[in-house]
Amino acid sequence: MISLKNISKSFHIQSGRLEVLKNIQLAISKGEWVSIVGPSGSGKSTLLHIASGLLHPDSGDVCFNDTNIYQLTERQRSNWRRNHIGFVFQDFKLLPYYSVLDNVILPLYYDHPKHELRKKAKKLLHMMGIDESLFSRLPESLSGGEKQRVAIARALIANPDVLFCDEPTGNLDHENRNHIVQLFCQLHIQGKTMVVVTHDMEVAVHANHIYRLVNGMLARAEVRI
Amino acid sequence: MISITWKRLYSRKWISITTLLAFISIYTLIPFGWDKSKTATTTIQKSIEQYGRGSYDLLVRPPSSRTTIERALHMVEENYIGDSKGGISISEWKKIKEDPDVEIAAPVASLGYFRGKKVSIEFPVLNRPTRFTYQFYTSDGRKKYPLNKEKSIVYFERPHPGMIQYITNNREQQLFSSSMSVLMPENYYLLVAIDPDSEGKLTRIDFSALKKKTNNPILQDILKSYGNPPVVKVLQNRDLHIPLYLKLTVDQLDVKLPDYLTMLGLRESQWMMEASPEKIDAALSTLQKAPIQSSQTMEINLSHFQKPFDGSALALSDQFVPMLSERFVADHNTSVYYVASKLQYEHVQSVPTVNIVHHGEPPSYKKIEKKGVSMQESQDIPFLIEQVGTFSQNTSSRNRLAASPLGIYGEMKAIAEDGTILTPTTHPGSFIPSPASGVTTLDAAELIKGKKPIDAIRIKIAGITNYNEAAREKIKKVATKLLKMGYEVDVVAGSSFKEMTLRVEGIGNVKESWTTLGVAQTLTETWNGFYILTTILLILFAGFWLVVRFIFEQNTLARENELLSIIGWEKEKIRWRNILEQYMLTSIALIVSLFFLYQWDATPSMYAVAVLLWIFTLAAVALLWMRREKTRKRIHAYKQLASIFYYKQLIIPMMFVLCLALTLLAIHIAALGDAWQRSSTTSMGNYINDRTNFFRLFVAIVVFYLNTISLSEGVASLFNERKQEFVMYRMIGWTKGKIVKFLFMETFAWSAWASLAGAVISGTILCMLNVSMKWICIGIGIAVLMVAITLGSMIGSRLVQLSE
Repeated sequence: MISLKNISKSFHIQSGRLEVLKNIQLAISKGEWVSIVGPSGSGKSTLLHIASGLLHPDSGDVCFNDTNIYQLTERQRSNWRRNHIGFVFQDFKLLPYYSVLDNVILPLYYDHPKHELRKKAKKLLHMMGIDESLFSRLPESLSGGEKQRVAIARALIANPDVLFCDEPTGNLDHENRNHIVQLFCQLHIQGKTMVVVTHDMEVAVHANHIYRLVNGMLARAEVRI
Repeated sequence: MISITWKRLYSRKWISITTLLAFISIYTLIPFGWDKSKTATTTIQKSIEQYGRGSYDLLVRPPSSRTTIERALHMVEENYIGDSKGGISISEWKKIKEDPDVEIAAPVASLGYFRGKKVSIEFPVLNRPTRFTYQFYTSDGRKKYPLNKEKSIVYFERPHPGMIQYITNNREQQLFSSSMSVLMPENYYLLVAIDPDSEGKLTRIDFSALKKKTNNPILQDILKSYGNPPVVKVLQNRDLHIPLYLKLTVDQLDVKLPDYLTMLGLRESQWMMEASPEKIDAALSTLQKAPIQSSQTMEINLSHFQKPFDGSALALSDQFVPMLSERFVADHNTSVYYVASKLQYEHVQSVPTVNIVHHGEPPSYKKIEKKGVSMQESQDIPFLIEQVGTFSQNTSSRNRLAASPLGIYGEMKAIAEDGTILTPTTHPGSFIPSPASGVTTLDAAELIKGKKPIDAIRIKIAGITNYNEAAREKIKKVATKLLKMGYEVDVVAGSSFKEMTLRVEGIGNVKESWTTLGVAQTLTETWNGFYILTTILLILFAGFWLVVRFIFEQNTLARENELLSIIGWEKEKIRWRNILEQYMLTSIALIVSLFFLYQWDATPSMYAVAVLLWIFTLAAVALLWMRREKTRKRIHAYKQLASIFYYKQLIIPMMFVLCLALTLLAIHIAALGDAWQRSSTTSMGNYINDRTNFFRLFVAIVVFYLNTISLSEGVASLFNERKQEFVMYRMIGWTKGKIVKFLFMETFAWSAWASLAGAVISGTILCMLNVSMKWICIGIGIAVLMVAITLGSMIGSRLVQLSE
């Protein structure tokens, strides 16, 4: 479904160039859960951004169902991201001034009738275990776990093929982390393709494949539970 | 503390530099803008003090002498007195003159249109028989008008000096055999009576010749033969240009004198003009059929030689060039004159229109009435005109900015639509008011017009050197006194020329300079008001902008404050750190600004303004950072305009800045444009505009620059605060177009309200300032456009940065 071929990426820094990714090869099949682990600053988020069409690699191709996404125009790539990709972030990235419900419908805000979107959003929020009384609330008034569940609902609003999650449990306590992991497992069972970047091995182990990113190189990780 | 504050400033160096530049702009440009505005106003005041006073201060006229058009337009017709009927006696004038507040009281009485003695132009004696066909013309600048019927002289030969054989159909004058001289046509010129002493003081022209006795022997003979009528002594204006042309056709004929002597029944020794008129007419008729050997037609300009009351005798050379001649024929019949009614204007409220009263050549725009008695009709003539000297206007001392209506010596410029300069004709009914062609005494005025001959008195107030507020008060005091005496009084000091468009039948649209009263006062008030307004707006703007800037900074620091609080910093310490940072920035900005001001030779008041602004900044920083922050947080989302309400702490100050920026720009543009346009209608205003354009342009640029930096700073702060939000939009798949659309809608929502408020505030202020609706619309329109462009370009550039 998604294949990354020979991906390299480096950044300019004061002392020269920092090579973050070196000739990365990765293939993710439909319905697979792939976890990418690695120490801080190893380039996990960079890899996620490249895979989701947000950041141009210096070299290499990212293909989604045989379409090289970096050969698409900016506009086409945005549309592709909206329709095929869902994002979940460590810091939730909810708009502070929109209600919970409005945050969820935000990705398709300009594309679909609002009442249909709201209906769908409510269903998703129920699915995520968010109480209806919180729908009109501002994100600031929610707990961390609630915020992340709202963020997952937003990621799912367009019914994407792939869910990219960048440290989704990094800001959560143990209980909320477990809750989110359960949700991911449900989504995985329902057939969602998942790419999860995490430090947390307890999250990573639910994946079909775990990759470790060290010194810019990606390698299959051995998992001991 | 200083070290940690400095480190923060250094680590955010681009933000610090930008803020520093903004403060430097405020501390330098506001003093500069204010100073330039002040300089412009001072220049205006000085110009008005220097040039606002004409040659006199008050124009006093008889009761009810103000015309309808003057009342309607608050103007005084230029040189209108040519048509007045008097109304003030010499004793009344003397009473006004004796007032200690009056330095000069110069009376003027229009007597009508008079003719001086007519003299001749002599045709040349050529080798061959020649027919001279001639006609005199005058001109109004556009068209030539004949002054007599075409006449002819046929010259045959000169058998000996003193005998020229010629015949002519001109029987209206005395003819002589020694020369072929024809009298110039009758022309009429405005004669005005003055008091030589006061007029001399007012105009610095020497009129003392009017007091001298005449000793012209020819005149004495004429006076004796007419029973010694009074003599009206006249000083002639040397500066006049009187349009007079001679159209001359010269035909060389193949004729023989003996044949025509025979035809006339004369002997060889007899002069041809001794024949009977019938025979002369028959001979002239025959001559019409005589073969012409050669012919030429020419137009000879006699304008340079023409003088109103004591004409120049001329002779044409063999080459038909005019020159002065000592031999001439003269006609002393000067006791007939004309009085003309005033011009009758119609549609005075729209375009004043003047119609022809009598269609003729040239047409007459006034009703003409013949007065006096001709010498040829009676021995009992009322007076005789005698020129006793000349005068010339002293042009070097003339103030061309301030208008003095009844500047009776100046030729008024009137321009037709096609650009032709119109000139007064020699006809009393001329549309163009003619200047005084000659002056005489008040005694002569009493003789001609009766007991109340004076039409106006021009008063110069004593003890005034400059046209300032004190002078205005003194002038007003004397004016009130004269008004109580029943006269029509106009305060002429501070008036200026304004170009008027008139519609004149037979000519079309004509532009004339009329005297607009109270121009200096209006100019002073307009520009003083503009200066006060600019100062208030600049101060308001600076104050508001500084406060808004600190609110932005407070918002930026909120997260850092929270963090410092978490790690154990006391609230007072956090506050002190924040205040110290702003103090350091503003103090550096002040030092740099003072250096710049020094480099630009700033005045002490400019330094003072900069320091006061800095002190205000310190106070604003202290007050803003001391205030308690609201801790109450909202739980539920806003249903409408959620993002605007959420960021209200940033957007409301931004709206204030936008509203104030638009108000400042709109008021500045509209008030400047309106003041400039109002000023430019008069010559004094134009002069002031020319002298102050640079300063005003500078202030306008300062205003625009301050607006731009304040708006760009506001947008930058708003975007920095929401940077993550825009990144998120991209991540969830919004295209650039959608982000732009979203931002546009949001920005439009708050900026439209701010702009509307700015437009309403500026419109109200401008209405209260009596600025014309045209300039209010232009000002607000340009301000909205400029603000929209600035805001649009700022948001656009920020979006480009974000998408990168």
